[in-house]
Amino acid sequence: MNETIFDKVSDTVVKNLSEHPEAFKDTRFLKMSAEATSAAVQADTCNRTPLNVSLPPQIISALNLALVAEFLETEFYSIGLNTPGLIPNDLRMVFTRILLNEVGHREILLTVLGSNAVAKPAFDFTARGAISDVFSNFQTYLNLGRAFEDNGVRAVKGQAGNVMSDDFVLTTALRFHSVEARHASELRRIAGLKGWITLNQRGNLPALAQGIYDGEENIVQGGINLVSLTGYSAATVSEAFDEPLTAAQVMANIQPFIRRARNGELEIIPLGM
Amino acid sequence: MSDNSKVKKPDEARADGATHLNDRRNFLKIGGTGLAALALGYAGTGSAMANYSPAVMQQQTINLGTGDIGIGNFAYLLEQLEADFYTRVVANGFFAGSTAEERQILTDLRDHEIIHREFFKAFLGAAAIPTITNFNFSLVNFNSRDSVLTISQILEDTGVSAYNGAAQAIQSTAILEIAGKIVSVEARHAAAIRDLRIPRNGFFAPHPEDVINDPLTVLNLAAPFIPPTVTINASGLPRIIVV
Repeated sequence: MNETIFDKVSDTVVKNLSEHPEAFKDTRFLKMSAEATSAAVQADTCNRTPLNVSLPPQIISALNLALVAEFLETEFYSIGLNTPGLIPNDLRMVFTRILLNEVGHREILLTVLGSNAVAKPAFDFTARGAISDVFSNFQTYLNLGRAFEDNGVRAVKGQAGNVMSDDFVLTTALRFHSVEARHASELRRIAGLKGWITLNQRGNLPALAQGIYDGEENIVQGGINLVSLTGYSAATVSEAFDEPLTAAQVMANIQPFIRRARNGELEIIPLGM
Repeated sequence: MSDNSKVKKPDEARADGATHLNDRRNFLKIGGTGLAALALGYAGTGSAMANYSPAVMQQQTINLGTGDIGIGNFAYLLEQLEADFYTRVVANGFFAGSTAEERQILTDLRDHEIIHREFFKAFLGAAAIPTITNFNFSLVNFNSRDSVLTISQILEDTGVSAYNGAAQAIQSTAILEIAGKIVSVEARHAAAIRDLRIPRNGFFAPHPEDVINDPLTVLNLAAPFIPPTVTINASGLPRIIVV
């Protein structure tokens, strides 16, 4: 167990969370959801106390990948919860809970990474117009949200091997990872899907989201073909295991939602590798 | 071997001074076992289980082993338990008043857990622990929605905590990867079951970080389901630091 990081992180994270305006602003919606119609997304003014620890490069890049996904998700849910009429009142608690969890993840990652953290990219959730009704059609918003969660699960899963040298980082990442899976399950079910991913089915999302689901149709684990072993269908076997993505695959999935730089080039996010 | 390195059979637990609440099923360990205490509130009278007879059945000690094999057998044991539970839920015809969605979810969970179980059995090969055929579900009322969903939630949440907790002790990258592939599906299950119990609330993911437990804690949580004829020897499992 790497006690060096944990000894420092606990109090710092609690402090950061307690000071974070975004978390409290949205908690308010639990009680005042119908009235929360005009609040704007607040600027991130949180004062963090970064940990002063040195991390190996592969852990820095793994955590930065997770951080980019958390940046994406926190902004996505913040905008959604602050868009009047988008999220039905009886579902605001679901989205508020998810936002609070994502803020918690983001703050822990920022705290652990300290000066190694990447900057938050500028996001375009319409994917340059391809999903133009993302904040005006709840079904679109819901399905993009579950896709971000499914992508987040696969992103962290793919980094487990890269962080296993540090027990604290590995355990923390896995604890985030299973929470992302809970989010995915909830949003998928609200969207009328199963909570688990069948084959590589992306549902009613545009083709640009296919990369989030490709590979989920895998039926071979540990060299064992589980359809042959169990007699279950490939669809059922594929549901029983989630599959990892590489950092490059995750970034390719996120790339459509990152604004182009002024010169039209895709913004390249250096993860610290 | 320290006292808590072996999962207590219910009979042993009673000798520890646990309260004796139910004479007809006189095996429940009360006190330090949150799962048993929780589940007790849902103990029903219509159970089809409890068809064991300790006096005539042979005692069996199952040693999980050490290192990654030990963790693999630990996971295999949990998957056996989950698969057996949902198999009985489905075989019982679910519970009174079950909805189509509930039946679909519980059927999927049965299938997924059977696939996990069969995977571990094949993956572990000759190192795999035996199949446990007589898990003790006498504290479950299979006709009660509350009882079935409560036990389901406990099993799924405990499974998530078990995989997340044990991960730091896994040496093999390949086994860590497989554990990661399974734990997120268990978390999907847990969220779905939680949402069935308290719909469209924050209940499906109540914390930014899921709870973790070390293997021995998990095995004590599972102890009420272990048949009285079976003793689990977990002395070779690594201890992890739970923060």
